[in-house]
Amino acid sequence: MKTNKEQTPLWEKILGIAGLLLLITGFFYLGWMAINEDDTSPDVIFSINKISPVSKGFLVEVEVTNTGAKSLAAVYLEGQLTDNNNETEISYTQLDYLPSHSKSYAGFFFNADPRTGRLEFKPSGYQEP
Amino acid sequence: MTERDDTSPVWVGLGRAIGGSIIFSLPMMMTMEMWWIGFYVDPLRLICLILLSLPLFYRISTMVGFRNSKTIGDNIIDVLVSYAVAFVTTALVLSAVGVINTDTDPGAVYSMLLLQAVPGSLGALLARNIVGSSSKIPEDDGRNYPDDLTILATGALFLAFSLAPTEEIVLLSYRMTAWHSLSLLLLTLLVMHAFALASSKCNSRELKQWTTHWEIFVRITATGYLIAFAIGFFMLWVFESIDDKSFFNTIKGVVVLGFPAGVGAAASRLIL
Repeated sequence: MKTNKEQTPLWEKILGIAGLLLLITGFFYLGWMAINEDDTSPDVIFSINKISPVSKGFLVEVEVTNTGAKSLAAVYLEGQLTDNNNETEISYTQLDYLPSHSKSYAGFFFNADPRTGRLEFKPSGYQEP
Repeated sequence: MTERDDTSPVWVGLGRAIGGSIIFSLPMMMTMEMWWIGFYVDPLRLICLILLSLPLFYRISTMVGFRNSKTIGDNIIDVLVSYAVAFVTTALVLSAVGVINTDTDPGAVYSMLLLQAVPGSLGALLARNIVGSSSKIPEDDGRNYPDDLTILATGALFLAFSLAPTEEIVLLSYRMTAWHSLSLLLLTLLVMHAFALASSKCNSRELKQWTTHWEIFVRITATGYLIAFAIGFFMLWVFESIDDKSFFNTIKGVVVLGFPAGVGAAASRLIL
């Protein structure tokens, strides 16, 4: 049933070239990634987006950025609020996943008003994906 | 075989490709592990996956595809079109459901789309069978053995791709003893053989003969399982599910994935 006459319409040829370019750039990109493997350790940076009063205390919404080249799973995050009397309140949360060079968002609940004390955040641990 | 639909508008073929791509890749797009794997997949393994899938997709394109292609060039273009369509479709769906957003590393998104486009392009190529009204896969009588093997590999790849990234495959293998693995292996072969018999053209008198069963078992069931096992192993390797595992746990993992892959392989002869 095969014939030598090519029957591909123009639109398919254009889309086919796009697919070919996609594959070629994909191979180059992946090959480049494989050769220049980035070994930067994961580093988690916090920045506060919003603090708002809620029915039971206060909510601190944070932006969490992984500046490292390694993706993290089950990332435990700790937020510590120290008031003027040096009393501390610790709150925890967990991110299922924090990809490399990417941002995610999380929230911490505190009883005391975070605006009147000192807020500190740190990652407690993670798992390899 | 149906006549080529020369008068079909452009959007019919494209629509089929998009439809098939979405149907095939939806289970993977909606699986959490598949979003994450894009972020950490080994680039060399992803290249291997794409490179090895292309000859299979070419072969599928000669048998199905979203339009009736004739020449080698037509079929190559069909494969490339299907990959482009799957890439764009996947990007649109993953953006619509919020998996891809501006906070995600563009390189990781690119890897994710290159990976997700593989099952999507398989769907786009099979679109004629899934969403189209006609098939150009020859009926059983007209199929040659390489056609059969391609169909077996297609079914195995589809189900293996859907399940290999999930944690459940590894967890199941940890829960299973050697006896469980052996039982699952036999069950897989039994189910595959049932599908192989159902898709064969043998009459009831022929099926009463052991030689017929033996022939179907060797040609379809056993070969199909070999293909499913190899594809299962390859998919687990691509998704890094068997790295640093003992030989025994690796085999158990492949046997677990070999069940859906094997059933998919055998059932595809009935479906396609």
